[in-house]
Amino acid sequence: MNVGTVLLGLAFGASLSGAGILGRAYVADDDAYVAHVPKLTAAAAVLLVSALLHLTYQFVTTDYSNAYVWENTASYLPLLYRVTGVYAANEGSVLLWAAIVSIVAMIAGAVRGIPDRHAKLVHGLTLGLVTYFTGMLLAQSPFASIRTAFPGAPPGFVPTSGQGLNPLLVDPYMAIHPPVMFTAYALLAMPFAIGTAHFVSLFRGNGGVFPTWHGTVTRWLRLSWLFLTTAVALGGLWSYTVLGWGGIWAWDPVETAILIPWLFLTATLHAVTTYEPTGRYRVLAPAMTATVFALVVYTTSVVRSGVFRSVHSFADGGIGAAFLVLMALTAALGVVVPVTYWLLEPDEGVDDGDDRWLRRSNLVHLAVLGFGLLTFVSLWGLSFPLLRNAITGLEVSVEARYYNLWSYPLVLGLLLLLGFYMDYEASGRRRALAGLGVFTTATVVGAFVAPTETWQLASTRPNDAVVYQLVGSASVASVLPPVAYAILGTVKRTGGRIRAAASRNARLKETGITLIHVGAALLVLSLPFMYVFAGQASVMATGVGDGSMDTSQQAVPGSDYSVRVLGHSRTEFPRDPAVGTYALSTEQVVRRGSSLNGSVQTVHGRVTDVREGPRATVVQLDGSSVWVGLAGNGTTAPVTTGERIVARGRLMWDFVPSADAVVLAGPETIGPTADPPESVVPTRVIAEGVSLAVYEGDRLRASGIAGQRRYPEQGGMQIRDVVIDRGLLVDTYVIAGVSDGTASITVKRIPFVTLMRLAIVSLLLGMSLVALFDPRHGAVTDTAVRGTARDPNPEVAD
Amino acid sequence: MARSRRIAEAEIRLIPPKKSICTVLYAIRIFIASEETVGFTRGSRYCRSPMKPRKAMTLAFFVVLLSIGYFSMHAAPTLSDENYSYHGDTRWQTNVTAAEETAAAEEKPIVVYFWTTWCTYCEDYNREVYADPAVQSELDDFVKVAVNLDDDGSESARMQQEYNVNYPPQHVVITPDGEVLVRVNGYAGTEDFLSYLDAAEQRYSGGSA
Repeated sequence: MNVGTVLLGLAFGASLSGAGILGRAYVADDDAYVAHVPKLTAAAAVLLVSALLHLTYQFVTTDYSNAYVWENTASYLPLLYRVTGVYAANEGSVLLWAAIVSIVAMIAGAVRGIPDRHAKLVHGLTLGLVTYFTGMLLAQSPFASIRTAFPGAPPGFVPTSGQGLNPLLVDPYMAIHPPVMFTAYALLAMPFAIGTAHFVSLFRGNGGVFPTWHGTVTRWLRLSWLFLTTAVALGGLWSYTVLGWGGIWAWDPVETAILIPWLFLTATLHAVTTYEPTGRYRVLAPAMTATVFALVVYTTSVVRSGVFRSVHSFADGGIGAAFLVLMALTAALGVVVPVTYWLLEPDEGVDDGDDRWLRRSNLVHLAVLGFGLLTFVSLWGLSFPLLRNAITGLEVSVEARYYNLWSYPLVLGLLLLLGFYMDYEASGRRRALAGLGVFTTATVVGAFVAPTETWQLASTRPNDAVVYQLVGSASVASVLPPVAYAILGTVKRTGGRIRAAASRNARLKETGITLIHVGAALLVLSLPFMYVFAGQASVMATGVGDGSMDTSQQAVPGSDYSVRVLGHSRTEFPRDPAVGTYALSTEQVVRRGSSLNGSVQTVHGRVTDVREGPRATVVQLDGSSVWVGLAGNGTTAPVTTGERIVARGRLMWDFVPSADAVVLAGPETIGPTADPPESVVPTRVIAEGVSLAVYEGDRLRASGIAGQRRYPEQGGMQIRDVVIDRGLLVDTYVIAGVSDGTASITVKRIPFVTLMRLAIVSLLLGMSLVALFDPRHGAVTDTAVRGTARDPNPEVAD
Repeated sequence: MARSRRIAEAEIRLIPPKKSICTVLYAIRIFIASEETVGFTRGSRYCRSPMKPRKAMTLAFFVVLLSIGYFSMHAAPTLSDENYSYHGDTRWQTNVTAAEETAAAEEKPIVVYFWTTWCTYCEDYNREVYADPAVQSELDDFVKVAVNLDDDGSESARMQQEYNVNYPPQHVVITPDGEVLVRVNGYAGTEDFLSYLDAAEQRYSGGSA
């Protein structure tokens, strides 16, 4: 039992009693004890945040008596990466998630209170989630004692150094990616609770909650969308710089797992903004709202329960089973209940009876379905290998092109639809249909216009399935007409709508909508070009290690680039670490006492006595009861009295009568503190690289140090140090592998990365504008117009 | 009033899934678009009004979704069956013990390839290296074993531990007794890969001679 566990236990108690009170009050329809719930919610939030801060503190002070800290950090890491070690594995991630959900629950409760019976159900469900997460943490605690990792260790045993942070996570992007992602996930808890409560209420004949909570749902969803988009973008940019293969997306299961909720959330937002309480989407919008969170839990389970392992396998562990149970629960509430209601729904005749096909609401519906299909493609790619393996025992591969080639036509279709929708509103039916015809034809023609073979989307193999052959052999030029159409249509419509907007907020929202759609179109433009037109060429440089390399400009064969190797560098980390970071002082040894017996330790101190015996020499440190023993006849005792030394060896407690502790060192493992022997100082990272300059023609394109970082204590894992020149049109991306005095240098040319960065900025900016300033459901404009008042200028008018 | 409502409620209880029945009828109508089926669905008591555009779209959505799902699952290339896994145009054994026996009998060294489904450099190997005929003929002098790092089986775990492998792709060339001849960590281009294999062969024949 320790402070962290107590905090978690109390948080569990608070959230469980809160959820229990609300559940009972909902069923009994009375207000008994409900007045205590806000306090309990706040208590749970404060306790969970305290637990998180406590864990962070343990990481910052590298308190290795905590097994989780020991597994995920090391003393040489700078402060930032000691902090981010907190969410390097499952336990810390779930704690972060739980803490944010509890804050969300607290804010939601504080803003709206618990005015009616439905609110009890909604808040009961969010508190239930907090309870579940906290329960998971109690079952597999981030505060478990180090003795769970070393069951045989004596009481009080504390390792002197940590295992280290997963090298892939030692990156600024990864420092902020997880909190952003878990915030997005946590913000989806409220919509989940509201969507689920809606159907529970419908089944109980209470009329549903969605109409009154529509604004709240919209705000939570939009905020979550903003965070989720940021998280996906950060993940992509991280992969670009850290994984060192020069791309942003590899359809790694974990990447796919975050894209799936993103796609579905995008679909949901389109449905929720089109929602009318008694008309269209009265079932679908609440159903999708509830499903998003279920999808988040599903994909997280698939990735973290160890069913699938991938780059992110740092996160596997026993918490998986708890995730699977949560998955079943959320799927039941978020998917099965709405579907059951939909199937049993007695009457469908509330629609306005308008049977025209060409209506804006129908076009939006197509968009919702299109995003639904995109979600399905990714979801299916993540799921069917498991399914097929379970059924047939065959292992099948899901290659990147499965995702790429199925998604590509869908995305083009969505862009054409977007262009048509926007144009239809701006120019009317006849002209819009003509426009759609022209741009669709252009898209099909574009698919056949391939000046060179590079333009092909994918290399096809003769025994490929028809779809892969067909889409794979299409030219990337086919992306241009849909993108142009979407942007033209959006800009055209915006002009009119901004002029028609009644207020500053409405104008800002319109601008936001435009930025989002233009950003999305530009993103779609940049991605295929980035991959299809990326080119690379390599050159070898020898004699790098001993300085005998050729420092003149060498052409890189098969490209316009040339490279000059200017020097070689090799650095070991930690660099000249303070002795206290890797060795125990005599005081620490005495304090830890017999728990150190038999373990290999490094100690340091001032020599106060040297006694040479016939077969061994013993050296007293700091006048204490700690001695260093050296085998040998004692004539070559390498230390003198008064010197500060460091020594490493097996520590024996109560080994000889006159001393408490003796460290049995050898000639290689003892030396002065100022110049410690190599075998004593730990090396965590060996960074080796070449400084180089890359020219294109005569122009200097990029310069810097490219190479790799090797983590000898973490399985020899290697991370690339790349040099990137971010150009307006083309990025120059330099990778160097340095070993045995030879550098193999690869120069990649990746087009349109800056366009992609701009597109992301545009998306995020647009999302923020809409989330903040929407006159109807904006975060800052919310108080002005509330509830069910009709939007004077709705996004989807019919 | 109250009576008619009761009847209506009773009817609901009797035929709750009328919407789904109607959906099925419409699905039939889409595939067999004849006068009779149109008349049948329209006349059916389950579907009093003709299908709304949005519903038709939703239905089409599910049809497309199911076809994508079915088709893509069957078009996916087989990575491994009971005894082999396939990389580029090469076929690798997955049973380590059997491979060791083969290697001992034929006195060939073993190439152990550690891979995963999601590693991009493994795809580069498939595309660039294993597709090369020179590599293929060189590999014929070895017994090939592929170990999927995501495989939780005991043999896979044993190999990973024995050769200290924790990231893909890696190749370890060993003697039939398991002694390491050459390691290739990460990606090596075709030329490098061939020279590694050469080095392994030389060391092997040198050691056994």
